[in-house]
Amino acid sequence: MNVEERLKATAPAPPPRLKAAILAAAKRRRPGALVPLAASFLLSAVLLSWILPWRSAALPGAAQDVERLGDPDLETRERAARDLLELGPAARDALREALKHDNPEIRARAAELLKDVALLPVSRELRGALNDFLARAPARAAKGVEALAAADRTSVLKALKILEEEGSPRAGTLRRILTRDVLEGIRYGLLPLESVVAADAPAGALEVWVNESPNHFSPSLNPESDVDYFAEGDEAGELLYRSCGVGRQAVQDLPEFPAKPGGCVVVVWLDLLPFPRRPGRYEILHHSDFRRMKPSGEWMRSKGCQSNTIAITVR
Amino acid sequence: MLAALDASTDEELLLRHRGGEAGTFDRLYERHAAGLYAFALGLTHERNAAEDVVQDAFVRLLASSSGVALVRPFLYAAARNRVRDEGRRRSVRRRARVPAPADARPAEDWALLEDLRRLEPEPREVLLLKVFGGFTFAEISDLLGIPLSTAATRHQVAVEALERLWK
Repeated sequence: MNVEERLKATAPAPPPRLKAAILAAAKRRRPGALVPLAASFLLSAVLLSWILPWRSAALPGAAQDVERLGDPDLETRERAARDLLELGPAARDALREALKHDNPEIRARAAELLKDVALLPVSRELRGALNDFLARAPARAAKGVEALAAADRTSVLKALKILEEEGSPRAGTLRRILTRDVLEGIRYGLLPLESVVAADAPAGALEVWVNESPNHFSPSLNPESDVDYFAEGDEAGELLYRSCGVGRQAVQDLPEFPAKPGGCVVVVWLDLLPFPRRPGRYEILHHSDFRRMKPSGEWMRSKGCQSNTIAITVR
Repeated sequence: MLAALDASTDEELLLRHRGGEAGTFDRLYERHAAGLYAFALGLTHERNAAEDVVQDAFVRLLASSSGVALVRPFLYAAARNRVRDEGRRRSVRRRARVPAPADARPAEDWALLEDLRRLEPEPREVLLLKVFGGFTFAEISDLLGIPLSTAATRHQVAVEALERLWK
């Protein structure tokens, strides 16, 4: 018996209860996820409406499409979703309204669509580059990109890797788009939120960051090769971690800030997102500067990055 | 009816499940749950964590509002991402001296798991994808974003390491 056969023959089966648990979780997730999903998508939409110059107006057609999101017929629902996406930002108001709809199906679909619509304009250029690539790419790579694009949010990063491996001239375009536009980087996984070091990074700086920090994007499952750092035993870091959730920020312990008392940490925070202030638990000490950070600060300074770090101390 | 389901592709089954057709999820689950669970177990080494990973991957699949081009890569990519995310949290917890979850259960009923654990993460991942996901090297290459030759090499490294262990 070879290695593969032996592994297969001995692997334990999943517990019988797992299927029921999945179905129950899936059922719970639809209505249950509405509150956090709606909140996060609304937040995204609000932020993007602030960032992006255009404003939408509710359209009668959009309202009808929203109603069709709750149609018993799957095809109709899917078509309505496509129509709303076609409307793009103009559908936003109708979708926001739909978050308060009586029909949970409509609320859930609206929440998903709101996210997609909000990100549509910033991803247009990227999609163009990808489509262009897909039209020219060898079959294997194109298939891989399609599969990965459906698979997870890191798909475009992987697509980029494929492009580069294939030696496609589009790779440079795609990388430039992703590294120039932080929103795109986050959306498509080139810049996981926790590894974004400057929202206002100049073109090319994040590319260098990527190249100099291969562990960020390594397929390695080694948890040690991660980018989240806390001062060991740092209560502020742990508080921050629990408050914000990992994957929302990069936290680095710095020698120039005391870890104790006060549990001070420095947070590299993306300016596009509001920092979740929790009065009474911690306070913002002061805005800091990448130039105080070593060695990454020196590197960032050499790239002309602006400061967007804040120091926080636990009360 | 059952034969018709058996003949359906994963993607057709998913579409029909979304349309409310009974039995379609059961088929999808039967096709992928065992492999996905073993894959997750091989990466996490804990039964609870593996169950969570499998559950999360399936729930994501069922909840995905946009089209899923290929179910199998979706499931394994989702599982892999979940494991990575969990790895990050643990890394942070470790740094912050937060104890691991009290309900962690090692998978003591899979004797070979300890041997898998001794492999380097990257070769192990490729081996698990090949054995339990049934992926070709080309598919693994696409899934992990690595050259095909790298996928094949990592697989070979993992196999040889296990062979050495089992001599």
